[in-house]
Amino acid sequence: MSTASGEKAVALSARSLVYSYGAAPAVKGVSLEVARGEILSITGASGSGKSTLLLCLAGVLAPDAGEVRLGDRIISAESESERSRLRRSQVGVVFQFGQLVPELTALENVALPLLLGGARRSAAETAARTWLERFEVGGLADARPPGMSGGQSQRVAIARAMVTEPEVVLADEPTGALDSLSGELVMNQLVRVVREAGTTVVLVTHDARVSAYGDREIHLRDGELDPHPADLLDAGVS
Amino acid sequence: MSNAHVMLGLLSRGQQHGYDLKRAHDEQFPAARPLAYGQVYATLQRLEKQGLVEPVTVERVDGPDRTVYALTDAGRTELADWLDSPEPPSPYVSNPLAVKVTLTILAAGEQEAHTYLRRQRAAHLDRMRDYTRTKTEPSSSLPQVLAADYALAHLDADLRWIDTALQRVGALTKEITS
Amino acid sequence: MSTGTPRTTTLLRVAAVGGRADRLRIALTAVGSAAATFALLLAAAVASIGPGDGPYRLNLVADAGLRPGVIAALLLMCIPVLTFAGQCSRIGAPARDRRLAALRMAGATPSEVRRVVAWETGLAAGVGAILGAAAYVVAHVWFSDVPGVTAPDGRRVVDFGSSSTGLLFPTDVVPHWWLLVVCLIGVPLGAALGARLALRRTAITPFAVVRRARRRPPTLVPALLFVGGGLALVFWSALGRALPDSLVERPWFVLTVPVLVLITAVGLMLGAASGAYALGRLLAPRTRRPALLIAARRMTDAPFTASRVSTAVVLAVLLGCGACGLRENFALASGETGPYRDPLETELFFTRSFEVVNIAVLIGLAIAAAGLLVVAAEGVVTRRRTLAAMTATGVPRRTLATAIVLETVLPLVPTVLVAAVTGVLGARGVYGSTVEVNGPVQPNGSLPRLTVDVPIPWSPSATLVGTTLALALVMTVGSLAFLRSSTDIRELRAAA
Repeated sequence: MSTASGEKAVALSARSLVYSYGAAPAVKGVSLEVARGEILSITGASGSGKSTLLLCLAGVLAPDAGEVRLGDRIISAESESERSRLRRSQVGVVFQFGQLVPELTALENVALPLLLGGARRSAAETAARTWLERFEVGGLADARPPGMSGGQSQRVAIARAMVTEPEVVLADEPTGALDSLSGELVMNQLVRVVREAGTTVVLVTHDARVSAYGDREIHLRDGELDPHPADLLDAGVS
Repeated sequence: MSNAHVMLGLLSRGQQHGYDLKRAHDEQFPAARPLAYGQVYATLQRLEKQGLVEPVTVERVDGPDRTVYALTDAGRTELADWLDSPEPPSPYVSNPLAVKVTLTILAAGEQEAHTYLRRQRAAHLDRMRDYTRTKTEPSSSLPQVLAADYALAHLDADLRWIDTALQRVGALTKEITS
Repeated sequence: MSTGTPRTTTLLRVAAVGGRADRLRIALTAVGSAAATFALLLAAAVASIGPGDGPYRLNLVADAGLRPGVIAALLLMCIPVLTFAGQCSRIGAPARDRRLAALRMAGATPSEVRRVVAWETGLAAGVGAILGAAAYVVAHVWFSDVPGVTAPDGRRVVDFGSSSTGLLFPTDVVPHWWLLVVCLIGVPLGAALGARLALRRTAITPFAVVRRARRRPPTLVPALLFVGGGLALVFWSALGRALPDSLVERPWFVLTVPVLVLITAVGLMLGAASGAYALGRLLAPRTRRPALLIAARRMTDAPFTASRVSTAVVLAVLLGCGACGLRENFALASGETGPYRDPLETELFFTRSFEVVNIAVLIGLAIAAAGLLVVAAEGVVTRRRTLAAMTATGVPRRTLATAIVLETVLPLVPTVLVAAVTGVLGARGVYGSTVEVNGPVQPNGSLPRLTVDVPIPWSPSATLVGTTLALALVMTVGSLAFLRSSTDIRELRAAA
């Protein structure tokens, strides 16, 4: 079991990704594959480049070199507006904080991607309500983000990421701003829902206990991947 | 903490056979090693000698003697006192990982120490994934979840130590080989 | 451990450490102050015109009876200028407020912090005042060389009627010394005071976070002011007839008109917030367009931004449309326009004068539009984090841009329309919707007096409303220049 490919279909992959902020390189040639339905954890210290990697995988950033594939599409080569459209259909993104529109209600926030796709208001709100209830925040439908606790707004944000039933959900430190109990609640619900839906998840975190929710972990150090642990386990004396 | 105190605590629910006590122990403390019947009976006999438990009835169901035990007043007092006092944090914490790192440096060199730490890290993470799966399973009982939480916290502590150790291997090598 | 009072210069140095935004704020304060000083000096000059000065090309200035109107107009011009300066004072304010809060945490007292801001604004305004005065002096020298009508004995002959000679500006007059002092000291002082007052809440709490409870904007008071003032204006003549003569003939009774105008304008300006709130609440639950949804919720969430933007605009439209109505009236009454136009009337005094008024209104409008740009741009820059996160989660920039434009322009539309209607009807209300003109000479030689309807100035006021809204649109679109940098992904890294 050296890599996650094999018989399972690959939902998302990256090859030799390079990204630099100006003169400072953040991702230096990273390759990976995520199988369909898998939860992959990416860990690393702050400044290791994991958030940048995630943004490249989400199509938010266009890499300086290398490619990102979503299924058969090479999304790293597409235009900004096409990549933007991705994020309201096939890809859902969750951040640590600040991703909900503070002036809209929770219901409207979750309905937003559907509205952007041209859905009617009533249909969008019905779907949004369903997803809010799946994350047990249905009672907050008319509340606004500034009035919610961190755990509640993160669950709303995840509901928003899932409302378009994307193939892949990318989460950057989703529990980073939460205390351990709220964080656990959020992760439990996230894992339960994505397993039911068969969604592929890429989870970036510096917290080992959060990364343990994944099926597999890769470790980023200074923009590069650490050699896969399985290679280390197999090779040499245990 | 000793098995004796655990028995006293379990008996506070009511008089039971030694067999029931063993089952109760294994159910409530899934993280602990299951008790052997011999251990249970030995402990009960010791407690009886100290006057903390007393046999209530002796049932003769075909087979071995199945004595039902119950707490005495002295036993109840002893249990209450023990529950009231906090566990002393242990002054000695064994760290087999640190021992292995040092020995690896001395026996094989810095590079191997690095590799060992990385493999250990992977093994820890694997185990953490197992415990997390237990936690998220809807059929897990609350004692199981609590036990998993405890294990995860300790594994996490080990992991943090491994991460900082990885950064210090170089300096450590210099110090112990000079 | 020093327990003395820190020197103002020390405080200033710490507080003024800022970057581009702060420099921009200071520069714009100076510019606003310069413009206000220039206008004030002009007004002072006009106020200082004596009988021996002139001649002046503009009959508005030449006629002593009309000068108070000119002075009033110049003073009114200060309102958009000062509003603009006020809007500029918010540039870079969040960062500056955080710095001030840090000062407070380090032990500065609220009054020390207020002192710093007052000094910063006062100095900037002082520099601006000097610049404005310098500009006035330049204009003074430049425009004083004029071909005049000189009598044989060397005296300048004052020629009231001629409109082709004379000074454009009363730059041959040096304002009374005490007026000069008022202008030069008043502007910086007023700016410093205003800054100090505006800072009360921030300076008191050491935490720069102001707990924004969503306040519902007041509806009753503005509505009362607006409806009361507006109705009084519209029915002013009728009211005048109803009131006892002894009251109406008092000299100060005429002042009720500007007072009522002021009341109406204030009501309109205050009511803009409430209108934005109501419009937002109406639209938000009903639309399927994401841009409109976001804009409507923004209007509900921050209605006072709408009122900040519309203050100067509303005033310009109200007065501008009022002037359109007045022009129709006066021009018709003096025979310059209309079916009974006097063909010998070549001077077109009123028509020309109102053209000048129009120019003044347009200048005021332009300044108001500049203020709009400032407010809109500031809004975009302050909401960087949210905008960047929205872009990252898939909201296209085009939707965000549309939302920003809608949120600023949408509340303006009803406010501007109401102001325009009020202005036109108010003018008709005060000066009447009919005038008496001289009819054509009858066969028997008599000159009948006919009552003619004053036409409603559809075209001029529609042009004004259209120009205003178009300007607002252009300025808001201009603020989108900041959108690209505000939605940069780097904004998100601040937390990572």
